[in-house]
Amino acid sequence: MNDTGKNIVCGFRELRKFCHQVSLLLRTATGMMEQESWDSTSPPTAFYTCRRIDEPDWWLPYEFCRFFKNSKIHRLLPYIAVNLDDPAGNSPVEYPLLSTGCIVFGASKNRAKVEHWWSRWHCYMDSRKDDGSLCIDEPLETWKLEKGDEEPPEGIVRVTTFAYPIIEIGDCEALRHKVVEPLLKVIEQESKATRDRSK
Amino acid sequence: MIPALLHGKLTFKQENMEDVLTSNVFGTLKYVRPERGLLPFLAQAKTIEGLPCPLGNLASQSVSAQYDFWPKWEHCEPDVVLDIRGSSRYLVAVEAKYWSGKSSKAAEASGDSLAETDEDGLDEGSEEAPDGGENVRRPSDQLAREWTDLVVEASKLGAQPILAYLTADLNCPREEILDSLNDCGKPVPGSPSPMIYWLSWRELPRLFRYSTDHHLLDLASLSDKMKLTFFEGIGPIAQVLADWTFQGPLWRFDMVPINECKWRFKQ
Repeated sequence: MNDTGKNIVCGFRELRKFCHQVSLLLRTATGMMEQESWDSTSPPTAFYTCRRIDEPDWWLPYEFCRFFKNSKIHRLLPYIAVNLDDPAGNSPVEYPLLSTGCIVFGASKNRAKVEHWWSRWHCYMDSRKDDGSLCIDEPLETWKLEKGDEEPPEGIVRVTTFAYPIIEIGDCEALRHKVVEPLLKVIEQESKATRDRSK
Repeated sequence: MIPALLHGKLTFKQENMEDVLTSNVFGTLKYVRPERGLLPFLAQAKTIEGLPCPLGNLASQSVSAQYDFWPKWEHCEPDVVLDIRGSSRYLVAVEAKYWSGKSSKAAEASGDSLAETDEDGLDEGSEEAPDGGENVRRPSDQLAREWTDLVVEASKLGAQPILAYLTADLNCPREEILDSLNDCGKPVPGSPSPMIYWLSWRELPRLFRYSTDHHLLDLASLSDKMKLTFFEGIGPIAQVLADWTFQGPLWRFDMVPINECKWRFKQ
């Protein structure tokens, strides 16, 4: 018997090892955000799976994310996510990304229910760079709808994202300095802009 | 016990007992020179503001450490007490947690009778005690009680008190520590202000994974086995060739041309 059987087991073990690191990363990031009064919104972390027999492309998750909320700043919805490649190829990535963003809602009370794909917003950004540069989308302005396209999610007026290849985030300090602190800065700016617009 | 754990000889319950973990870790550190094992570990402790533990100052010195496991003090039973002597003397009380939180928390109000029962069965709960005509409030929070007793024990030795809250958290459990500090109340004049340092078991593999001391390597292996690690970046993924495809019967539902049936029943 050749090594194929062993290799399959080994392959899945490697995937689990990767999942462990992603879990540590997101739990650490969640703790850092909680210290700044941004609590995680929901327990599910691994998204986009389907257990149907005829949908094997979707058996394994390819999106891992935490959304955050702050009871005093209702209009902002920040998130930190790990994005793998999308089996449908709609938001392709060449390497795993650690992306983050801040979704800003308008003043209207009508807003779309949170959807998991929002954590891949960076992957949909035109001419995105994955080097920590900010990308900004104002979907009401920028989404050029063609026939059959989905409308932008109701209530979202602006999304700021940035990302790094995940392998560039090598430890807790890199996570803090490259991801969490810049995200908190974006949140602060968006929070101030939201207040100014409300005046 | 460490080999038993590393070789999967313990039950899940045994593996996850915090007293077993405490015994494994500090029982091993005891056999390593403090400046190589214990001090580098304790030096990772920080306050909730991120201030480092003063034990880091001793790391380059020759020091001695005496270990006292689960000593019974007046109002509490810390997991380990370390009497560390170098250029200064420190009495370090370690309250170790693995899955559980503090065994007792601050009563919501002074005199609250809802304080939880302590796991060590020692006297529990806030109370107002007569003290020369003046009421002195005794804290009910586990760490606050330990701080109170630690100050007394340290002053007997002329040592500086250090209380370390050792947990499996990835981030500092600020709220828990703040609650404890609040329950300590104002220090008696002349005694030190309450100070609680947080330390994580997860420091062990980071510190000792590449040690040349086999005791310390065992601690790193133990922590890895118990998944007590911090995020350390995405490691290399082994390349594996899984050259297998399922080639069973054709599971296709294509329409197969069927020859026209020529048979007719002739009456």
